[in-house]
Amino acid sequence: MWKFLWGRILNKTVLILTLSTVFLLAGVSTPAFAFPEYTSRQKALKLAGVLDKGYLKSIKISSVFVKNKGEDDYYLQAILDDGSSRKWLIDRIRQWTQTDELILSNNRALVFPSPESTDFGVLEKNDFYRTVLNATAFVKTFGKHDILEGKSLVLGILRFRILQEEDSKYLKTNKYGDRYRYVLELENGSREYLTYTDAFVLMQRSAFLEEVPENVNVLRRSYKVREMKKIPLQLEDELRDIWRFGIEVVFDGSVMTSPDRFPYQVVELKMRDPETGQYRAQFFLQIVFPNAEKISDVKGFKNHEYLRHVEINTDVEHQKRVILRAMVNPDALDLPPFVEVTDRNSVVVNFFSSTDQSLTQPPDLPVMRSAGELPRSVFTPDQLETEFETKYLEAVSMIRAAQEQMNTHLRIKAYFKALDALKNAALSAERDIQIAQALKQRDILLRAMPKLIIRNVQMTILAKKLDQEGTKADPEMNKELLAQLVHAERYASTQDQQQKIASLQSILR
Amino acid sequence: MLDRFKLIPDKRTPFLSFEGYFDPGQFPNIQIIPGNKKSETSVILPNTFIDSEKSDSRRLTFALRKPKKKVVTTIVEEEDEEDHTVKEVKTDALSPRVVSPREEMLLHPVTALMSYRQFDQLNVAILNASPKRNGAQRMAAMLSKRHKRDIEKRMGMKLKIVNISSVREQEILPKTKIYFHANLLKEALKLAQVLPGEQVLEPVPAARAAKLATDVEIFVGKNFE
Repeated sequence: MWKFLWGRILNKTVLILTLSTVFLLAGVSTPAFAFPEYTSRQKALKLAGVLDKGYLKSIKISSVFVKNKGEDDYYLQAILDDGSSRKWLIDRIRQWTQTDELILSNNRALVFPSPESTDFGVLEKNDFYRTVLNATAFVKTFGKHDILEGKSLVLGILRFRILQEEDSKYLKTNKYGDRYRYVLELENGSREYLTYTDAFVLMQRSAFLEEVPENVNVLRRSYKVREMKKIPLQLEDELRDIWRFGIEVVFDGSVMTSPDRFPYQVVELKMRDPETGQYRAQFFLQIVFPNAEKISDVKGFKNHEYLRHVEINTDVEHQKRVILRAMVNPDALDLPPFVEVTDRNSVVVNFFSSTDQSLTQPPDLPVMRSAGELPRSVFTPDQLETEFETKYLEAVSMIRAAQEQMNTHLRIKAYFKALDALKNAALSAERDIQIAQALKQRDILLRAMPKLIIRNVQMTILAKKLDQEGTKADPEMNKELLAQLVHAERYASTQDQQQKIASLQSILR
Repeated sequence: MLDRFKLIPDKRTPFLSFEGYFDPGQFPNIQIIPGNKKSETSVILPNTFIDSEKSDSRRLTFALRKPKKKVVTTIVEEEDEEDHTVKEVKTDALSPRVVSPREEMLLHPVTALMSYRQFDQLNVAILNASPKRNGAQRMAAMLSKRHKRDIEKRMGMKLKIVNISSVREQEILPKTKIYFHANLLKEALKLAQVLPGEQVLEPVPAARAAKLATDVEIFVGKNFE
């Protein structure tokens, strides 16, 4: 008898402990948001109208009433054909629609597009079928937290099907508990599995195109990676000492996707150090190519400037995506990569490096230290182009154009014009950040120009000596060079530069 | 900035009205191109942005024809009768992107350098995207108590946590994600170097960049211990 009692007591303790543990674990793992049980009066009234004459677990719904718990919390009360009356909370209605226990009349489906809001929609399935069967292209828009978030691709449609038993996702659900119903097979070989909610949202977005506008490129096949090429290091910006190198990814056909569809990310991985056995953080720079495939071996590189182990791999988490991946030292990454689409069936990913990091720093404004909310760009937050913006953009484009000029003499002349343009921009500035930025660019130019002018004068004198020995000097050219040297003299920063300028002036005079 | 457009029906001459904030100087650049069919016409408004809060697409196409029977019904749409004239709402993928000179400058990393100013404080938002409760609070506490000085020293600016909350959706991220504005890659990398565990760093998607008030957004993922 004692044994029996102890058994009961122990069982009770074990039961209590077990239950507490279960509740504790459930509490910890419960998501912070649950679907609401109640809704607003207006939505409840609309929902009651939608559910009327539908079916719950094969029993016809005779009528649906709206009831309320508090002032703002409304739910439904339904009377079924079998005479039973039930209280329907909104979260239960959502669950029944997900498991097909609640079916609407006239081949419609009730959907709750947001997992934490009682906003609902009704998918007219017949209309959806007609639309999707007539569609020739599908606008795929990438969802939240995808690297391509908010961006879209227009893909050719191959076939639309209703999921059957033999399909892998038949009766399977997505993370919100909605069942997959349809599959859209696309011409590039990818498949889109759709729930009723997906179908509803896609219809709202008009994602199925019957006629494709002329200026729109429909992707009918994926880009196949052929090879990767190194683009050697070259000077990008002599004023800031920025260098550029690149990787060219060559595909089997022309690339019809704009460069902003090839985004980048940096991924940190903890990897075991083979020597010490300890885990060390390694950073990988990844450029993502959607609608692309790697179907043959593509040779990578062990090193290319600051990139290590450069390779192109298939993205195992997403369909028809490849990733250009390279290990990087995070301290070497001063500037983000820049992607360009070429007309030779390739995409070039440019990487930048600078030896003098102070040159890549924007201007500091100590007078503004207290105002954290001040704009962080020279541009005004509204999209209107101000007078300063117009002039500053003009100056910047002049500097960039000058940097592409191979002839040093012409380049110096272009830089002088850019200095004038920067002055004009500074004169039209309305905010400290604007004037500070214009003056910073001016100072960068002024700092670089003495060296450039000295080199130009030296080279011109040397060229003249070699080419036209014994011929008369060109007075116009001498005048121009002397004027440049006067400018260089004013802004020369070292004793060495001053001496060289004096020596060159005496030669030219 | 285009807020909305609507068709004002009239037996002889129906009008298409565009509402928003416009620069009259740009009016001569508006193009009206007839389509392949009689019922189709394209109107191109250059340098125009669609107010994403009032409209949900970057490009709207329409046709002057009888309103089609609505395919989908929702509460919101039933209340908003005037939008029934819109036949299709399409995304920016449908048209080649028009890049303004300002965007062009900001897109290229070298010219973008000439646009931003140095600042002394990095404003960070921390959002919980892990199944564990208080993930954002724990990370915020860890950053401000243990690593603040180290991060500030590395970045050369103050670190200010301006928002701690949870993501609105039931979105669980496997790894902690750091979203940064295009000019803050270096600062985001320095942050990632200090944070424990593995991180993914991505520039803020263009669709969200204009709305984002903070410099960096950290979504605390499942891997954060």
